Amino acid sequence: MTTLHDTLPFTSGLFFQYMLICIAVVFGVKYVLKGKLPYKYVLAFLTLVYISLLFTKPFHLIGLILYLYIASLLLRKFYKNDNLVLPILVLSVPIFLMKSLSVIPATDEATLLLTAKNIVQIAGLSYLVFKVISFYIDERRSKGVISLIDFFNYTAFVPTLLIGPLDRFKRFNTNVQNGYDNINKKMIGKGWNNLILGLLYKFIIAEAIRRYVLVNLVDDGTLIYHLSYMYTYLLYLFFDFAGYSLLAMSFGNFLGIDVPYNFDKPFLAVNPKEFWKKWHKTLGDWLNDYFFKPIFKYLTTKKYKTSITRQNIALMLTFTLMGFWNGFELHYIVSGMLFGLYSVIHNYYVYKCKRTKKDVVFGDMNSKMVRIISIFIMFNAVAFAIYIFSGKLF
Amino acid sequence: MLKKIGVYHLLPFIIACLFFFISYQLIISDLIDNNVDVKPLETKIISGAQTQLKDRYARLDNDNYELNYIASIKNKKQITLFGSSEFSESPYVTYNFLPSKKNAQILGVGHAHHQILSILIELLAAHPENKGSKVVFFLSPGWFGAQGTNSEAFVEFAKPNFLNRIVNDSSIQQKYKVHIGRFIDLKHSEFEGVSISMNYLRGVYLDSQLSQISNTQLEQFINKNFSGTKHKAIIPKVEYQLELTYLTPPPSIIINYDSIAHQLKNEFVANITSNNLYVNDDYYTKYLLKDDGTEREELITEIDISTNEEYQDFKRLVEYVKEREMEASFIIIPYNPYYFKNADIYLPLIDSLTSTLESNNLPYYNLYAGDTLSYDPGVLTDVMHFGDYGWMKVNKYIDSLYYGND
Amino acid sequence: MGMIKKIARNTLIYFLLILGYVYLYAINIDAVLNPSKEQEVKSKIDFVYQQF
Repeated sequence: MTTLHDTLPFTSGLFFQYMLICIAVVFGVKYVLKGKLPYKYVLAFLTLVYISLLFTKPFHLIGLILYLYIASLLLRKFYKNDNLVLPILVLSVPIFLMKSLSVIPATDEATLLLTAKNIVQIAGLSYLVFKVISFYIDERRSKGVISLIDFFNYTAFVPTLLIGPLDRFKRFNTNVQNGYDNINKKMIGKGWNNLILGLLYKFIIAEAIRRYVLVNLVDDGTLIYHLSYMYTYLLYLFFDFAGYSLLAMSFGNFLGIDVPYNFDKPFLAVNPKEFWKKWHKTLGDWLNDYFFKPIFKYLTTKKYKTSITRQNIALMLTFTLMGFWNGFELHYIVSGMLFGLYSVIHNYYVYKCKRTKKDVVFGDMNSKMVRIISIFIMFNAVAFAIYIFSGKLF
Repeated sequence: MLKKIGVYHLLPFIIACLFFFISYQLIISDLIDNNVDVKPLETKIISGAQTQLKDRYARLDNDNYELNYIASIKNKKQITLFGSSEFSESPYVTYNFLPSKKNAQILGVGHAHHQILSILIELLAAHPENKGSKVVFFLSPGWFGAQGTNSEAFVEFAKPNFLNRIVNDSSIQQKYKVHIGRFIDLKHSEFEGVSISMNYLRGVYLDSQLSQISNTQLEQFINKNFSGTKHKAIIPKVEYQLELTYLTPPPSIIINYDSIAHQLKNEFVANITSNNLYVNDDYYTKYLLKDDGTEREELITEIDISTNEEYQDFKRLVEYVKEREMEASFIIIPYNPYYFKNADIYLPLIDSLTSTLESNNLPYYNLYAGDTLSYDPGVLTDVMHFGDYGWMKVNKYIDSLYYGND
Repeated sequence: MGMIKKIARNTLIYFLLILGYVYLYAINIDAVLNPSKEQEVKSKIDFVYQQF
């Protein structure tokens, strides 16, 4: 079978068949075997089946997870310092390697380089490392043993393996500890709702946009072309990504995991702060909790300049990091910095409004108008930043 | 809970299905019908002067080649040769030799896998032009062993313009369209993306089958799924506007066929050093030697004429050639019996071919040999393709038949 | 109102799913809408070179 070791999540019929089998197994154990087999072992087994039979690089992934587990445990046991830089660097080594090797072009003869690339380029690596960083930071002071099974289930959970949503260990593990009890009418109903919406977004709407609009746009260098491509790409990316997230949530739900959501009407956001709670929310939350807040706190302890300046620096650094996390290519980094700029501008605007006790941009305008204009500005700003992100321009 | 599922999911699903069927009937059906009625398409006109008076086209790659092919058929002073892998660049191949020696106008069409169905389609596409045309068919025994044309060859040789022309030509008898449609139906799972004319021809075949079945439900099912014949109005017409060219043949030239042939044969045989099969050294070492240095052994598989697709195509071709009163002849190419030790297994097939041709008063040149005794070494350069000596024999035959020279 | 809204929302989702599935995956909509456009025909058989 040529589809063995070639089946990434949600990319083929075979994957859906695998997921159906998983759901059937879990339901079977719950209702027929009355939950005789502990949930966490069943889940780990099903995950292992996927990795060993269908995932593209099973040994690399297992190796990566083991490295991160051992590193986290050792850091948890021996590293008592409050400074998080070293631990994060240690855990981020795989991501550094992957992103930097990706930008080095390889010729046919560069076998050593190709081998290195082959080892580190594992699908889902970026998300996995972020999950482990959040795990380490949250659990480093907790008492008790974190078993390999729990760590494995959390990091390798199949529906969210490739591109999230980014879950938190505590929340995820609580679901796992509840085991089969989580598989109830509410969860199944939720899963079904997410499933039909996810299928609609990803396989119908995104596909229609791609097939009938995106591929038919002719690159004649005109402004019309760039604008058309910009808006079309944004819509395509949204429906594709949101659809994917919904499908991941849906299958997670069927397995009893209440996977957090990523998208919530993002184009109705009135400012960048709100936007990042509505677009790829789990990433925004992660950046906020594990990067923005620590940086801001650090700058505050160093009493660096004013509070607003510290906030803006932290914002800029956070979004630039996001750019790098997407990839070490210029268009990802610039896009990230642009989002940073948006947040900084908005942050300053809020600060100025508070200081002068009035709206420095909209004045006395009707609040409904303000909302409409804000949504319009935000939508276009996002469209432009995503257009750069797409790599079409450079 | 069941109530919840029913109200919030089953009910919306049923309503959605209803909406879908209504919108389908109202919008899409209209779209299809409108396209049939309202959009008359312009005729595609391919025009030009005939420029290809010798040599060959491996396949009809573009409009100009198509034009020259049709011109070759229309031009009663030009002979069109239909063949497959025996066609080469050798100066002794008929479409090179006779034009160079006596300014004859001869065009070859084809390369490997160009078999009878493709040839029939090419002739049908030239229906308005082919009455009384001079055509020669080179029948290779391998065609029958291959059980007919395959879908890849069909895609290569059944040009869209040709199929469109066949569909739109109402003077072509239905049975030929059915014959093509039957092939398309048989192989439909091998095609990726079927053109409207292909669908139409398939529909013609299926309709012809229908008249033998009196099951109204089946009829409805097929009509619903194969709306090919519904869309005939949307298949563009193709017209070739040709300016024919006529060469002046030089005054009577005597070609000493026997002497040239004899010399070529001697040269060929003398040059073989690696084998006793009368196969040229290159081919022998490349294809007939196994890795361990021993000679490959191959036997021909027997075929059943009654079910052989190529044979059915042959019969249809003969019917058409007779109907259009073409000045047609057939060259039957042999297998090398030194290599294929059981070449006689095809003798019944060859007999069927020749008797069909005889009963239709069609001239043929049968070079097939069932054994080494009846085989003239050098006719083939390898196991199945003409060598220069073989071509000289063919040239003599064609010159005599079409130009009245011995 | 919540119930009606939910039913309407789900109806729309199912409708678009059926519509999308039929027109994107089940039938070749291009052939229906643009019948004059020449369809590229390909063979799924990859022919290994034989000698005739």
